Amino acid sequence: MVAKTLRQDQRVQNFTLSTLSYILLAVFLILWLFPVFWMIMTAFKPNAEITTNVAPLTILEPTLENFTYLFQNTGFTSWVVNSLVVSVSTTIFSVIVGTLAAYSLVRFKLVGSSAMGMGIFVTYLLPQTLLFIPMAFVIQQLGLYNKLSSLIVVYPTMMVPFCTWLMMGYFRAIPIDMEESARVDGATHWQAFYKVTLPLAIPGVISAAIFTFTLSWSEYLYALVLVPSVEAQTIPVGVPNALSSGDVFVWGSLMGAALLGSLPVVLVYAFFMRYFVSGMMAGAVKG
Amino acid sequence: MQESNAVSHMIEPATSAADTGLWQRLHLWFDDEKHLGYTMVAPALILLILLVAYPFVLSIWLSFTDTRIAQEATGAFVGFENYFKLWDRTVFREKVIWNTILYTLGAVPLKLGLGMIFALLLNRPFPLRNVVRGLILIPWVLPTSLSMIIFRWLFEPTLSVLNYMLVGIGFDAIQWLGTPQNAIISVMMVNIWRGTPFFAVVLLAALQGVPQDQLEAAQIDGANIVQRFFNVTIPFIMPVIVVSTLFSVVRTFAEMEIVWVLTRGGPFNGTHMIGTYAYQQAIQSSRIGEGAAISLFFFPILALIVFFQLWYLQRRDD
Repeated sequence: MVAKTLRQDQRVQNFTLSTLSYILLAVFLILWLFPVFWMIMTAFKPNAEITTNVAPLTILEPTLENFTYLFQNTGFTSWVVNSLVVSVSTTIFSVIVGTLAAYSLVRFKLVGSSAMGMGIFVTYLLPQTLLFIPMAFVIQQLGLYNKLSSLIVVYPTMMVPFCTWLMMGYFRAIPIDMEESARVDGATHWQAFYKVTLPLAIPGVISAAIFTFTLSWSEYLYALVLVPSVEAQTIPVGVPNALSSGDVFVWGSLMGAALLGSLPVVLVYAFFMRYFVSGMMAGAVKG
Repeated sequence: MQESNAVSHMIEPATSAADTGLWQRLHLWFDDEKHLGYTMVAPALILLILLVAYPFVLSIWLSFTDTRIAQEATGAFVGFENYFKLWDRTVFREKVIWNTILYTLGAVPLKLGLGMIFALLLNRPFPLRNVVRGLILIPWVLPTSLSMIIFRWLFEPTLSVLNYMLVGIGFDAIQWLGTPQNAIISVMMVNIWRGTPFFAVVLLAALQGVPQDQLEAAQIDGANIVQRFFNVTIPFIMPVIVVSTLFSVVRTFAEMEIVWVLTRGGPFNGTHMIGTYAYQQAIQSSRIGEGAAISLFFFPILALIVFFQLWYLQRRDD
């Protein structure tokens, strides 16, 4: 008898709990995704509907005019190219340099290994806010001010520590036994790394690459400070700066630009979600 | 060429080749743990010394000088002058410091709390769970300056869809960014919007590692769902909570782009924080020295957090 009512209570409790959690989850989702929904809606709305505020939650006549405006009247195309150049170069460079450093710090007993590991972690935590002023100074000294290449030089300072830290976690998890038996068979240290351990660490390399690409694509402060001229800007700076002429905002095109500008990172995220989350864990949690 | 050739013959005894040509000797030289080790770490190290350590030291120096952008006659040592000047500015004393603290202490606990609720909800089985999990991180994945344009649009004084809906259900329209009080709350809300999914996903991953048998054992012992959460789940995921929170504190406190794109530090300097104020002083008003002093003003707190985090990780690893 007692057991039965207990079980019934449990079931009622479970039912209430899951109903409640569905409602809560739905509320959360609506609040968190509404801005994204609103961006997409506005991007396909004709300007007349946007400015008159007729039926704001629907689109009466969907249009591509906002995108046409973007490509014809703004530097959007060149910002896309600039962003691609910077993100791809940063990614390739940082992943290679970070992977090599990580392997060395994990496997070889060097003087100062642990100090270097700690230094890399601390560098990873330093926010751009702390360094952008002297960085502007250094970039000026190097003669790279207002050039796209300044970003290719500066972004690795954030991304190499990240990649190193992430890869250190991966290399630590790979047992050394296989390398040792390869060594016994006559492989050099480099071969043991390149042929034995690196292939096992490929998921880490993918995480590092995806994350580096995403963060470089989205970076704002350095791009704002180091590259003021419109033609050389990247998407995160070019879009908010140049699409506003005085106080008159072209909202449709702005939302179109936000949509297209976000697309690459959202696609990368959608296709590599698992690696993305493991990058987040390594970046934020293990480090 | 030959280097890659040698590598492609997988396990080739390094000493078997009869010739002792240059490549062979290089090969041998690099097979030394120390030689190879230092060579592999060198690019990263050089980069960090030249472009992180040097700028950092330079920034300390600059904060003691009257350097201005593109002005040859400046750059003289002025001691603590920049710090004193900064302290004399009411904007800095009454807005920047206060806002930075408020923004951090207000947003981080809410991000953590909401992220935890989110994670617990997502940890239950329900239809389309994977799709929902994927969608939830999108606010965090979007490039921040672009999602801030969306919020500019949502907060637009006359065409705001948020106000349209508020008025529709009988409330008054809100000037989201129109007054200093509203603006600081709005930027905090936006920061929470952006940061909560991060906590949700990280905590969800941690929750999935909580051993089921311990939860079941606690349940058999009569612990209810709340007790199980506080006595089993929380202690297990504590390291993740601590490290991700510290991480978020650093990021929130040094945050610049949310505020800059939304308000430029306004209205009436009401939303200025270290990041925005340092940018305005150093770059827009070209007072490099003072700007450097602003960034460095908060360095002690940052150093403390980093130190604590290192200590915590070290202790956990032991």
